[in-house]
Amino acid sequence: MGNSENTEKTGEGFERAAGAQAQMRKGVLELCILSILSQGDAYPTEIIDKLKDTKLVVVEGTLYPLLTRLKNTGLLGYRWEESTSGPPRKYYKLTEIGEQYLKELQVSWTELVDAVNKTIEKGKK
Amino acid sequence: MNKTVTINISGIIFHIEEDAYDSLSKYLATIKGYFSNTDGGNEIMSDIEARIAELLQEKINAVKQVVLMADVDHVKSVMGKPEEFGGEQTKTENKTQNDQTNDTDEKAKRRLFRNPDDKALGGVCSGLAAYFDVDTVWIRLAMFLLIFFGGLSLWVYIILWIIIPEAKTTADKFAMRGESANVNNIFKSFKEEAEDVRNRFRNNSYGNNVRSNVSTILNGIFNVLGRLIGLFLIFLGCAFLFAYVTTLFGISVADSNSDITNWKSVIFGSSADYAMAVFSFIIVAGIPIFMLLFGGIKLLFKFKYNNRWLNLSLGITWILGVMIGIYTTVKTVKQFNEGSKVKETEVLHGMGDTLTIKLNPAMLTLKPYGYENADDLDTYFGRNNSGYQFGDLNKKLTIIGCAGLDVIESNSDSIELVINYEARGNNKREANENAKSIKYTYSQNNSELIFDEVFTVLAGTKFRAQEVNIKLKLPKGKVIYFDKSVKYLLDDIENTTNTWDGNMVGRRWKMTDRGLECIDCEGLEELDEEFNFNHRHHELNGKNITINEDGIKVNGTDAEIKIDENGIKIKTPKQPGEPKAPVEPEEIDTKGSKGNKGTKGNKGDKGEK
Repeated sequence: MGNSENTEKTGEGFERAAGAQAQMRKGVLELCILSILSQGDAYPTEIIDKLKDTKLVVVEGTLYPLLTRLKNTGLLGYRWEESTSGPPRKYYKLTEIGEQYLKELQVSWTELVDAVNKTIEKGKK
Repeated sequence: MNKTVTINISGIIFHIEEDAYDSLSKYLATIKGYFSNTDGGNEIMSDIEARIAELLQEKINAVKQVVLMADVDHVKSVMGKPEEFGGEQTKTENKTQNDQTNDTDEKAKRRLFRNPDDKALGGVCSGLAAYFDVDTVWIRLAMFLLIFFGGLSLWVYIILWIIIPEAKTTADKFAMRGESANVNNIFKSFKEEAEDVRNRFRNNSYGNNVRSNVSTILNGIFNVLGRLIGLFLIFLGCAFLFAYVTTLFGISVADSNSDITNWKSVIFGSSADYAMAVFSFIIVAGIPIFMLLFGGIKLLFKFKYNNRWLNLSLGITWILGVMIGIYTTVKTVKQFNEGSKVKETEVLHGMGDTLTIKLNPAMLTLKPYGYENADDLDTYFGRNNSGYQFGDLNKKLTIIGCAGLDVIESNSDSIELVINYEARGNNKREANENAKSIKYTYSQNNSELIFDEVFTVLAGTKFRAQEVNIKLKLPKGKVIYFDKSVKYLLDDIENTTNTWDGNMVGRRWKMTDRGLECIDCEGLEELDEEFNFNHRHHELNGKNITINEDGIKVNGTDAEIKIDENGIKIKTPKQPGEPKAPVEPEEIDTKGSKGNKGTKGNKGDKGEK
C-alpha cells in the first residue's frame, strides 16, 4: 500500500476495485455467518467448511476476529465442547438478539439485491 | 537429520522441526502484534491457535510424527496473513511473495515472560533462564543463594512476579524464546544498522531513508542507554534494599532483645508511637526502593507495564507513611516542648579553707548496656562521654547521664552548693515531674566533697533530656583542690588563666576578686603538655593498669611494671617476704617531677603518667 504513489494508473484502479470488493465481502460475510449459525450451532472449522464453496472466505484468519466481534456485540454466544481429535472446540450459537438482527439483515439484504439487480438490468438495456 | 522442538499449541503437543518452529513462532508473533490493540485480542489469538493446532494435527499421523516446514506453510496459506484478517485486503496474487518478505522483516523479538510450563513458584526463574539462554537451574541456584544476603532475592522475586506477565498464549511462549534481545545483541544489531547506513550513503538515492536510518541509530543508542540505566537502577536498588533489610533485621533483633527491655518506650511516648515510627520507616524507605528496582527492571527488560492502580496505591501508601512519620516525630518532639528546672540549695558547713573535690568511685562501676562484659573500664560511661546511656541499675532499665560542675563566686560568706535538675516534657508539669525523677547524690566528708559523676533517672521515666548542673558557690579567699578524678565532671569553669577544665585538676585554685586563680601552677605550660593526652584509667582485679601514649604501667600493691620508650622496668618490693607493707618503690621516673600525692592505695590519683 505504501508504494501506491509509484504504481501506475491501472494498478491504482485495480486496487480501488479490490478495496470495494473487500468492503462488500466483509458486510456479506457477517450475514453469511449469522445465516449458517441460524441452521444450528457450529464451531469455526465447520463454518469455514460451509463458507469455502462460496469463495467468500479466502483465508481462514478473517473469520476469527469477526466471530469475536459478533460475540462481543452480543449477537453470538458460545460453549466449549471436548473434541476427540484435537483441542476443545468453541461452538458458536445465535443469541436472541442475533436472531432478531439476522432477520432485519435478511430483509434489507433482499431489498438491496432487488434494487441492485434492477439498476444493473437497466444499465444493460 | 534435523533437530526438533517440542511445543504446546492449545494444549496439544507437537514435535516440530526447528526451522518450521522459527517460522511458526514468527507467524504467531506477527498475528499477536496485529491484534494486541484489539478488543478481545487474546481471545482471537487463542481461537486462531486452536485452529492451527487442528490444522497441524491433520498433517500428522502414525508414520509422520513431526511438523515440517511445508506443514507450517500450509497453515499460513490457509489462515492467511494477519493484515488480511481485518478483511481489508483481498486475495492478493503476490501472497506467497509477501510471506517470504515479511518473514525476514518481522522477527519475533524475545520478551521476558513467566514460564507457566516450568515453574516452582511463579515461573520467574525459568522465564529469566529463557530470556538469558541459560539453564533454569543456575537462575534458581542464584536466587536461592541470594536469599542469604538479607533475603535480597525474595524481594526481587516478588517484584518480578508482579511485573512480568505470564506467557499465556503460544505466541507469548514463542516470544519467550524468541530472538534474543540482550545487550550484546542490541550492540550487534546496532552495528549492523550502522553498516547498513554506510552502505546506503554510498549508493544514496533517497534522502528520506538516510534520515530515517539516523533516527534508527539514535533509537539504538537510547535503547542501550536505557538498559544501562536500568542495570544501574537495579544495582542501586539492590544496595539500598540490602541496607533496608539489614536495618529491619536490626530493629527486630533489638525488639526481641530481653536485655533492652522496652528501650524504645524510654524515648517514645507509647509503644504505639514506636510501632508507627517503624511502620512509617518500612513504608517511606521501602516504596522508593521498590520503585527503583521496579523501574530498573522495566528499563532493562523493556517492559511496558503501567498499572495505574499499583502506582496509585503505592503513591498513597507512601504519602500515608510520610504522614505517619511526621505525626510520630512531631508527637515525640513535642514531649520536649517545655523545660523545667528544680533547684536544690545547701549551705555547706565545716569545710575549712581548702576544699577537695573528688569523685565517688562506686558510681563508676555503673555499667551501661553493651559494656557488660567489657573489662576495659575506660569505656565505662562517664569517662569522656557527655551523652546519655541506658544502663542497668538493680535489674531495671535506667537512663544514665553526666553531671556537670561549675564553680562560681559566692555572694555570701558561706559555701553553697546549688544543684539544678533539669528536664523537658510535654508541658510544665510533666517537665517538672521528669526533673524530679533524676537521682543524683553527693556527700561531704569534712573538707572533702565527693560527687557522683553520673546521675540516674528513676526507672520507668522517659528520656526527656534530663540534666544535672551543679554550681558550687565559693566565697572569696577559699581554696579548692580538684582531684584528678573529677576531670570529666568539671563543666567549663571560669578562671583567670582560661585554663581548660582538664588541666585544672590536680591543682589548687583560690577564689579571688578576679575569679579562680591557680596557686600552684608554676610551669603550667609544661603541665599543659603533660595533661593534654587522654588519661585512661584501668582497674582490673584490684591492680591498676595504665595504658596511654607513654606506654603501659601496672601498679600492684607492692610491685610495678612499666613498659615505655625506655624499655621494660619491673619493680619488686625491697623485701619480698613482707606482705602488704607500705613500701615506697624506687622511682626511676625519668621526668620525676611529680610523685603520688601520698595516698597509699593510689585510689583516684593514678596513672597520670
